[in-house]
Amino acid sequence: MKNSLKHSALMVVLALLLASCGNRPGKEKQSQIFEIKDFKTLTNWSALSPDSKNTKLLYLDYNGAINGFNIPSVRQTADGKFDFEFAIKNNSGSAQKFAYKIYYQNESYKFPECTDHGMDEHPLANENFYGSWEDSTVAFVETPVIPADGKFHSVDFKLRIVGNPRNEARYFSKHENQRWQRNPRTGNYSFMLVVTTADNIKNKIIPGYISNIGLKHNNKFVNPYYYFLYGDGYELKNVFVQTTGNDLCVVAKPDLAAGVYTNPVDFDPKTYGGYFSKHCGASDALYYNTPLAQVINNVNATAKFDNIPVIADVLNDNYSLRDYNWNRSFFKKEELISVEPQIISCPCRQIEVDTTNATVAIHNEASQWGDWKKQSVGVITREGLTYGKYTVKVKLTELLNKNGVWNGITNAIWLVTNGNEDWNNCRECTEKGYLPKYGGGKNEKRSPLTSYSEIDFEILKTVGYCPSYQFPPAYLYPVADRNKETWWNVPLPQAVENDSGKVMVCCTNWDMACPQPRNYDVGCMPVAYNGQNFTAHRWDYWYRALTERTPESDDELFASPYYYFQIEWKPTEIIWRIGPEKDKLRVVGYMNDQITSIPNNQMLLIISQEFHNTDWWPGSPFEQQFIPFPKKDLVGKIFEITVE
Amino acid sequence: MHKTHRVFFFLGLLFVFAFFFVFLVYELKYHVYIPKPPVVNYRIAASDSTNYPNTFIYDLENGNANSMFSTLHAFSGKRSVKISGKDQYSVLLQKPFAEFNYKNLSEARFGAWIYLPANANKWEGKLVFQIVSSGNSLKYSKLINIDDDAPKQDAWFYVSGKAEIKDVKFDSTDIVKVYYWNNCKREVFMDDVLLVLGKQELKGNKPLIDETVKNYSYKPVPNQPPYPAYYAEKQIVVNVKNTSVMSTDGNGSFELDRNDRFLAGHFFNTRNATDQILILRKGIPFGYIWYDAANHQFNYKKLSFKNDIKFAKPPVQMTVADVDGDGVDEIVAFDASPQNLLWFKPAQNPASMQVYLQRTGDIGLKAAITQISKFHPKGNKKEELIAIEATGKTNLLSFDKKKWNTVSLGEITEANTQRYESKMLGADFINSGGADNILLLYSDIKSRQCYYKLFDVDVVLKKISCIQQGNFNGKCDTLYPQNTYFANDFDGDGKAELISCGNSWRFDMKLIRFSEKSYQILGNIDFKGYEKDHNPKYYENLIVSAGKFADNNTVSFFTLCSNNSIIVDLPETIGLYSFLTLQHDPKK
Repeated sequence: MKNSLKHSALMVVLALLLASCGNRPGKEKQSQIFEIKDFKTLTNWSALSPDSKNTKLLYLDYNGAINGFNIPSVRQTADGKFDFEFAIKNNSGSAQKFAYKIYYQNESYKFPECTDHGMDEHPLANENFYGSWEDSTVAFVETPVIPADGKFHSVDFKLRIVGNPRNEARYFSKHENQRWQRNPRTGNYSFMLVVTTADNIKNKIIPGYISNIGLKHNNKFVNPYYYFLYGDGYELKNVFVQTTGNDLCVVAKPDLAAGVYTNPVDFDPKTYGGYFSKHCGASDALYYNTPLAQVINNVNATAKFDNIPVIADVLNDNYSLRDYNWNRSFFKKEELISVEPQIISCPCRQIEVDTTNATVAIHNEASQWGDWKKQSVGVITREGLTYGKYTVKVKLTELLNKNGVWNGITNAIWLVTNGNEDWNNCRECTEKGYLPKYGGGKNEKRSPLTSYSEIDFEILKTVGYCPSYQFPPAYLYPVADRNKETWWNVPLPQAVENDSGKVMVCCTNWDMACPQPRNYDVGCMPVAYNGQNFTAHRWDYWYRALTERTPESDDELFASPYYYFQIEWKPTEIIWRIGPEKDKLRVVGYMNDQITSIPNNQMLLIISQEFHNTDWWPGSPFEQQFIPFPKKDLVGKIFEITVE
Repeated sequence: MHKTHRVFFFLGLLFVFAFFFVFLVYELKYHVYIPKPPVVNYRIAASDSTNYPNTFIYDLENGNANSMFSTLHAFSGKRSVKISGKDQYSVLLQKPFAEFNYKNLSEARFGAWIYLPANANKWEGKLVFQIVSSGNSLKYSKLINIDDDAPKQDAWFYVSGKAEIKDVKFDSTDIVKVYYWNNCKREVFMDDVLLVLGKQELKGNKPLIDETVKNYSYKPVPNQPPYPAYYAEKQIVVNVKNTSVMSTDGNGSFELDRNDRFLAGHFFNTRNATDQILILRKGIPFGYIWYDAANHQFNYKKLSFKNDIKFAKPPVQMTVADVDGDGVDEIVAFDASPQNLLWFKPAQNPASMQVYLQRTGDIGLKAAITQISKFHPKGNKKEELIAIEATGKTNLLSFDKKKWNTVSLGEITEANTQRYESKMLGADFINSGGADNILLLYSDIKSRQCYYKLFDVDVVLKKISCIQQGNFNGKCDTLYPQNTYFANDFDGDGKAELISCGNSWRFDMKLIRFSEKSYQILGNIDFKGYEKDHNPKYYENLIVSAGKFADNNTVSFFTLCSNNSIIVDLPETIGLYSFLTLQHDPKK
């Protein structure tokens, strides 16, 4: 009985949904005055997506992409544009010109055009990546004079997809359109052809904010797909509208053989250029063309710690738990080395670009006596994107040795804001606002806007915080007394010992404590996804991040030849997946917009091996300061990055 | 009362009762109610209380068998505590305040393993930490709440938490209670409870890691920590088992004892001209062991004495020196007052030794000798002895024509036992092929400050002169007079380096070099190549002897490692470690 009620309710909801946005399958209404047929898209582009014969595939061209992606680029088609055409027949009885306009929209990462419950425009549909002519002030374009001869006449035109297609002032700087600040999204694109009579244009039947998508209506942009397919434009007479399916699939796959750029603002090549090469450095060629840069970490005061003066190869020297405990107890404070997880001191020395196999290796450099290094190292993409399915194929350094002792590294695959300026602000948090960048306390002033966003995979040796009854774990700590050697060597708690071969895969969204989501909460919160149950943890109401933790085998993730990590960042949810092959991924983290604010600004991808202060990870069985400095380079290798 | 009033009164009463009932139901449902079990008389002893200060581990294996305990399930051992059905609480683990240091009790950590049987669809309960007065008045409580609708069944779970205790006035009669309150229908079991009261106390004068010191950054300062590590690498030894050296035929063994004393020297000639170790048991030469590098084994011989001297009391001061210049070392010793000089002459047959005795008064020594060291004069094969009396009076002893000769060298004030504690040893620290220097490491008995003086000996003028001195500016962690010292040429530059083996609160073995003007601590000595994680420095008792045991160009350490009690994964062991290559070039 209970189930049948549930099913009935589900059917009603489904019916309502179908009765809303979905009940207008797209408009292709012929006019009495003209007829349109044979709308063809991308006629000069032939590469097909392996997933669909109807979808064409294009890889983003990173050459010159520092100023923004163009789809296609001048290297991809003869003139750097796609060709389109349609045929029109004039039924009016007199020769005349007609007007047409082409729109496009990213279909993979969009909000629906309508609200769930009716035909109103979805309040966030105007965030969708849609565009039209590059110059948005060019409204409808006139066809040549079409004779009323009862024949179809072909009209062809060109288009390219560019960043900031609405030419919003927000992305202008020094009077220049910084199209890279709102790059085209990856995923599938549809096209919408609108044709109408010159009279309709003359009489301004179609509002200016639709003809020119750069204009606002009631202080907000209106999505033309909504307008023509569901809104007022649906009823207009003598307005032909035809949408395509997902005609174009755009994938970003940066060429790892193209090298790694080092920003001269961070490191003056004259002083620090000792390790610069053709494939790593600050040359103009790299500046314009390479998709990756060496990441420069921001180090704050909380990252500092006093480290034991020991250099060891934890992974290979049979470094045992007794070694760890002994060294933890042995040293006096004046013997410790004050360390902050340093930014690299000599760029490119830690980077190895293999142009033959198109891989990039990153090295956490070994220490030598007096030259103490716990340096975080990594690469960052240089072109930001909003949303996408980020998949990386990597072999990052192992984290645990056979005794279960951690080498202190956090392997991280993460997305971070493309810029801390206003142009990159996230959607406004209308409920109390965001707290400023992390590191601050609970009493900092909230703001409705923030440009900071971060979505993380962080993999290290730590414990789970959920269920809360297991946290914090009660530990025995070594006691330093020469006459009680047994006090020095204490076992790990059994709860930790049970997972001695496992590392924690921590999936985090930094939502900057915007309490707007309906189920925003603190502590351990259950989240279900496709039959899997996850527990998201937030320390406090003011804590800026939400984390889910899954223990996984260190050997499986980092001892195999490679492993896949994927962050699927969608407008309303984030899904973290890992797996041995791209088609064998499993979900290890899931969050949606009901529990956390999903960022909608532009972010960059970082792959890094970092030394974190374990004060950031309460309950960790090993403390960073008692882990030796690395005796050998810890190497991570990146085989492939794709954003789909 | 009017009838209507009566009705209203009863309705009101009914409302009050109904409200109270709803309140109780609400309280019960949302777990606000927590039972406060009475203070009990029974005591469940912590199983490992003595080992970790303020830390109590209850394995629940001991105590009378009764209905509180169960052998049905156990996380470790054989027993656990059973907590039957809903609203039941476990046995109380009580710790009276009188039994631990509660003065600065601001936090506590507690954890326990809880077993959930099969068919337990819901898990609900609390691990409770309470501080109560002797009259059971609640002063503080911390609850770890468990409310799991879909727990794994037939499994052990770890439940733990932290209590942050603020604004609570303690009394010495207060009691800490830890218990589990079961709020689900099925019984649960509890085992291995850990209770840490306060931050875990560190032994010693100060915590090793002071979190408040954050402004230190590494700038290398001479003779200030941290120091680099110099590794001595393990030599293969095939015939040792724990603390015994096995005979090559397997029929016998020579067991060493951590109370033995080990003297390195060249007591008899071997094929590789290596050093041997003389073992003194109860102060008396007992046997030799030496290393056969070709066969990776120790050889041993027990000693007998050719001449029958009764040792009235064992020798006190002892050194090894080739006093007769025959190419092998002798052992020279002084026993306690009235003093004799004992001279042990090893025979070429390593199984025997001749002993000679001479009264000190007969060789011009008026007072008891408190320190003795070998001294190698320039251009002489024979080694001599420096012997210091309690007053600091210093004598040079030489052996010539089967007679001992004594020359007074004056007085070293800092060797006076009334004011100073000191240790003296002779070696060629700075002269590089010249006569030995005399190094005196001493500390003022009152101030405990540590100093050193380095002397040249002028045999012709019969005097000693200080050529270098210094102190340690309070960083007295290295050259304590109580340390054990070895002087050997580790890096082959013709000058001796000093090895210091500290035996204070931590393992401390350092390599030190002297230059014309000062000393330099080159680094810490460490070991590598040991089995598993049996680094000799991890043992409670580490006895080290240094010599050229493996070959005559390499300094090695003989190690005897033991613990005060049996540690299963750290067995007693004998080892040999050599400086095959110095990892850091001391000349740099």
